[in-house]
Amino acid sequence: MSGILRLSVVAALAVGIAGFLPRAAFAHAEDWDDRFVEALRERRLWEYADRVCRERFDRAKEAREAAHWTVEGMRTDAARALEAPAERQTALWKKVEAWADRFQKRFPDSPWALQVALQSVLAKLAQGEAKRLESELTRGDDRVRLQREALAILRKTERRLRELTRRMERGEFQGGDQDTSMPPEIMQNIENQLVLAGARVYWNRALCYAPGTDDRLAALEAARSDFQRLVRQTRPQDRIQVEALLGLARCQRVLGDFAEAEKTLRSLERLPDVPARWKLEADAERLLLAHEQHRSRLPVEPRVGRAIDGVHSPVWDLAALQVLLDRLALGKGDQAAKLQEEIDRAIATIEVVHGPYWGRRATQLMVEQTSGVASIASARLLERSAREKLGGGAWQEAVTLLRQASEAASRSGRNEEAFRLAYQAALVQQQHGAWEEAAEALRSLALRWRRDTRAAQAHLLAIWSLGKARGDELARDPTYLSWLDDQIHLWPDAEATHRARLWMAKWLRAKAKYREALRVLGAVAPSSSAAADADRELFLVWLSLCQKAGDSPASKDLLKELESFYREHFTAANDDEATVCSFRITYYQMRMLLEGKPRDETMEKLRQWAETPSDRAACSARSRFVLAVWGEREVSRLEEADWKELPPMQWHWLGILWQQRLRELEERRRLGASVAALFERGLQEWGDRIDPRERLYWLQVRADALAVSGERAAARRLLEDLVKKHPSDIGVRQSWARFLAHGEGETEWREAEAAWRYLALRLKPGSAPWYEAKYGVARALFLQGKKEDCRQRLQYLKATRGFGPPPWEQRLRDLARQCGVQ
Amino acid sequence: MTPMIDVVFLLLVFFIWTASFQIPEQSLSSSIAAPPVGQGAAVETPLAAEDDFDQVVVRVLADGDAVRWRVNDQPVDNRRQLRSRLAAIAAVRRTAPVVLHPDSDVPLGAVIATYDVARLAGFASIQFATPAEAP
Repeated sequence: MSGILRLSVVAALAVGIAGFLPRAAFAHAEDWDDRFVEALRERRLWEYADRVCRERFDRAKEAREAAHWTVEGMRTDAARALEAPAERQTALWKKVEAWADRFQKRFPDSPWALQVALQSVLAKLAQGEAKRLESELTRGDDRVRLQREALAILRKTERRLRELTRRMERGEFQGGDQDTSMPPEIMQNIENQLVLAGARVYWNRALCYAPGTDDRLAALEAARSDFQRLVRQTRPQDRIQVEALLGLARCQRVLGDFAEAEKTLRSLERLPDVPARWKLEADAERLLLAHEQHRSRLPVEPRVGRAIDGVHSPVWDLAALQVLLDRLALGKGDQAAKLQEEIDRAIATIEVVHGPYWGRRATQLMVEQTSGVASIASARLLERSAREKLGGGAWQEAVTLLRQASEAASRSGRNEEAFRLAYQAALVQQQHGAWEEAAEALRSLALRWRRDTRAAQAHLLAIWSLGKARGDELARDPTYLSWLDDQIHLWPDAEATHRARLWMAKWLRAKAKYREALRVLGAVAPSSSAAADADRELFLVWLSLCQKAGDSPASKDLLKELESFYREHFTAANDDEATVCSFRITYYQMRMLLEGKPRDETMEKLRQWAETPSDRAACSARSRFVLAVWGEREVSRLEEADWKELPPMQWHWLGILWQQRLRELEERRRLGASVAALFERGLQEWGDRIDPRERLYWLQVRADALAVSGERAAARRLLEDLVKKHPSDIGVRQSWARFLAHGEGETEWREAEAAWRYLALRLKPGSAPWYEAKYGVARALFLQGKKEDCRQRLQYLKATRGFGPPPWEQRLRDLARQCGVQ
Repeated sequence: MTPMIDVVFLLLVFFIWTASFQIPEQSLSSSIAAPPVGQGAAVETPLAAEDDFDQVVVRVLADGDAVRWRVNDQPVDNRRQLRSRLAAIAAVRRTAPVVLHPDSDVPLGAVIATYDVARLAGFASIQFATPAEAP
């Protein structure tokens, strides 16, 4: 019953949107403009329609014309408000009110203000109707709240109607000369419109109350009486009589006077020249009436998309949909599948014919009516319901519905659709941060439909979601590696798998399994989208390998191996400039790192690239940067275009290279100043576009460089700020401690002691950085004159772990000698 | 009258006895540690100088029927070497915390023998490592 009532209101709402003032009242208006605005509204080009109305209003010289464009503007914004999302509606309704105010300000004494005032009341009525309709498609507390809001708006509408009627009775809108006064037939029409609006207010209020209550009955009776009065007052050729008869029939039906309602509808049939739209609405009413009385015998087939004289009506279509939904609720199992398909087609038709607003209404109606029907097996209906739920924020319900839809599609053998729906469900979970569930869902769907072209991508997403779910624990999670392994074995040639190889290589590098990482990266296709990232990763793996080899004899072999790898990869790689250049430079950078004091050949090569304008501009620019951090070139000699050529990844390596250079250089101040300037400019160029971790590294390098250059105050400010903002970052803490260790006052030595102690407790015991921290504590104590404390610590370190690897062994030994450790 | 006095006295004695055996509630600590404020609050807590003396971790590992040791990740071949190594550390700092970390398949006897070696070396504080939680 409630669904049927709801549909009747939709009819009333449609009338509200359409507006009431007869076109005859604006016979003077330019037909072309009217048709243009109407066409814009039909196409939902609201902004344009609004602008045209505004422009015409501003141009109008007479009150009559201005009133016409005010009414058109109000209709435009009211129709727009009804289609807008809930959060934007209030602003649009205010815009409707603003039209009336604008007219009032410009023509304060014009009798045409009556038309504007009437339209304003009708807009308020439409707002109330919309709110009530919204309430009927919700449940629980929301429904009560919306009903209350609807009643408040309707009461306000009623007050305005009374006020307007009183003003009319007082003759406020009469007067003016022949040109400006309002013709009597229009005055009469407006009087009738006021009665009609009053009846509709009662009708809407009635439907806000619960069935069977006194309030509802009283409001329905009042509405019926007003509609009857209008039928008596108006002539058969008046359009308003059609509306009055329709309203009357609805009231009679809701009050249970079915025979009377049928009689009313028959008298409507006899009216001359009823427009097609009203005929369809009368048919809708007839359909609902028959359906409510005896569900099987209907006067006309409930076919959605039915038209009379080429005209469609959303009221008819929704009534037909309502009947179909009722049939589904009552129907037998063998008809259910067919009916569900029919309902899906009906909603699709409504979406196409009447636009998204009515499509959404139809979907809401379907969701509301089928929420208790467990046997819904149509994948499309379930998908529609899921979308509706998602729009309402109930994403978990949406996920369940999408999964059901997927299963339904799978049962029908539509595997592609089944995959798509299950994929969507998982994406919804991802969007809402349910990483663990999304990962499992994506993996299971990828494994289930592993031949689907999107399976590899889905599995990759599953791995990504797993990574998000595990967070910092990922490194210890064997599942991650096993999923990556599955990806590589199940879809070895898929584009997505190249990305998986890259991730696997990163994981292996983090576990210090460099050789395996190299093997995995070797399988990344040069044409894949992961190739550039894989090249960067390759460099980092090689870098880690080289760092591990250190100064050992193995490093020479490693360099040879790197050289052959470089040549092989270089020739095998595609001729993409960025890739080739990246390899050239990174290879030589690594040679510099490994060789310590680079061979002449290495430096010669870099100088050659830096000086000679080659076909690879990026290569020249990057060589110039490498030479700059090596102290071979002034930063000021870098060209303006060079700054754009150096990608952020290369900056990181410049930082590493510079630290290497510092170890062997005696005169450091000049280089420090250069590097500080270099990274300052780099931060300006790239600072807001790079990863925050990378940005932090750059800032650290800059602070270190400032300290080396002698700008200790600036370095201290920067480092203090970094420590404050990133208190747990070990790299920052190391920079801070090193800075303090080079201090010259007791305060800084004391700070250095605390800074190194902090690090010693957090670094892996026995590692080189840990020994550095231990040395730092002891040295800070020594500098403060606490020789005994220093001696105790060194003696204990020697007894428990020894003095560690070079260069710390020698430094600790020297310090121990100074402290008197035996 | 007399029986009543007896009963009253008995009750009095009973209550006195029970009251005297109650544990005072205020002996239970009621202070709650304040949560760290901000990310860096815990970090900025000044560290004690004692923190410079790390614990001595003695791993006890099963190697077939034999037992091997590692003191702070450095291998020790036999029990005599273990004793001299620990004695050297104890000579520097007897109060250093020693943590015994035996493998699950090491015989109990070997673990007790290692404990005794540490005690004989002179360490005052010897603890056992707790097993890592299962993932």
